[in-house]
Amino acid sequence: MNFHKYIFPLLLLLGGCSGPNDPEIDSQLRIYPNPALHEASIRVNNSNHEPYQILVFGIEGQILLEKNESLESATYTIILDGKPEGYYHVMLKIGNQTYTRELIKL
Amino acid sequence: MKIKLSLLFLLSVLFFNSFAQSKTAEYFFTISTNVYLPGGSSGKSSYPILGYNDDYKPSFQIGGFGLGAGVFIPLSDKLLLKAQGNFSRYAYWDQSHFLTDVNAVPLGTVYSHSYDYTFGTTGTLHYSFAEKFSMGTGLGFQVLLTSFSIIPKFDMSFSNKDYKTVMPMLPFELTYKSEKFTFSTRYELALLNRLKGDLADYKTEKYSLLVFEAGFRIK
Repeated sequence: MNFHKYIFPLLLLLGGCSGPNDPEIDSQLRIYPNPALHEASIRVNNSNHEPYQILVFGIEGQILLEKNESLESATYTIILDGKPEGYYHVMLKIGNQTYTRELIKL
Repeated sequence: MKIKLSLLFLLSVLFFNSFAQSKTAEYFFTISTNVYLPGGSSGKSSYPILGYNDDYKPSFQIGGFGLGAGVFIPLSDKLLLKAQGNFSRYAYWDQSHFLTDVNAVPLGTVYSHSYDYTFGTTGTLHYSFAEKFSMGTGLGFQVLLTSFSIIPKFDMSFSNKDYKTVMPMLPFELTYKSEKFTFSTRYELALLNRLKGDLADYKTEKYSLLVFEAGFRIK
């Protein structure tokens, strides 16, 4: 009998979730490699030719990269050498949609 | 930052000292558990107070807890003032992340869990609606001492430095109080976006806390 399968859910007090949220899958924004050590690339796929804004934030929330474009697709490079480890927020605003991803700097 | 912390500490001391001069004040040592409730758009999710799941590391999941002190002072037959302060840990699942190689080929997802260590304080005005039971609201603050995320897959942890240090909170509390013991359930709503820096202009992250607090009378 898997005792813990019956007991521990009782102890799961008001947590709501027993695991993390899965990320949404989209093809508009891709970061690679992730995690990254020295540099990372950010690819934006803008097949509708809509104006978009791409933003990258450092670990203290400061803007590291900001571009306003309307290209079909573009790739941006972020140099991470000398930057602290942690999460770098990448945000793509295109039309009414906003896509956010986190780049892990090792 | 240091000035804010010093001011908050000074206010807390003055607040507690004002109670100390009252003969009717009752002091309690408190222990608590808590659940961090992320706002809908944050991508985070709640971590269990105590749980077990074979799919994640660590399999045994120990969530939030805290230690502190509280004081009650009656103002009238039906009204009483409660002040409390606590050092607490809050735990939550962070947003999962896509992994990719250098050619942008997806390698799956990785998850992390995060911990905030805080000093929290609330002052609440309670109304006794039944014998030994009261409910109240007021104002509180959470002072973030440190926050970090752990990625079990890489056995790494990172400091989270994009959160505000001081967060005003709106508490709602339901309390049972006897001569030697109290039990409170407190909901605290963060009043501001917790993100700071330029990021706060583009993204809003709200949260709230649910705290279960037991108090044992010390004076």
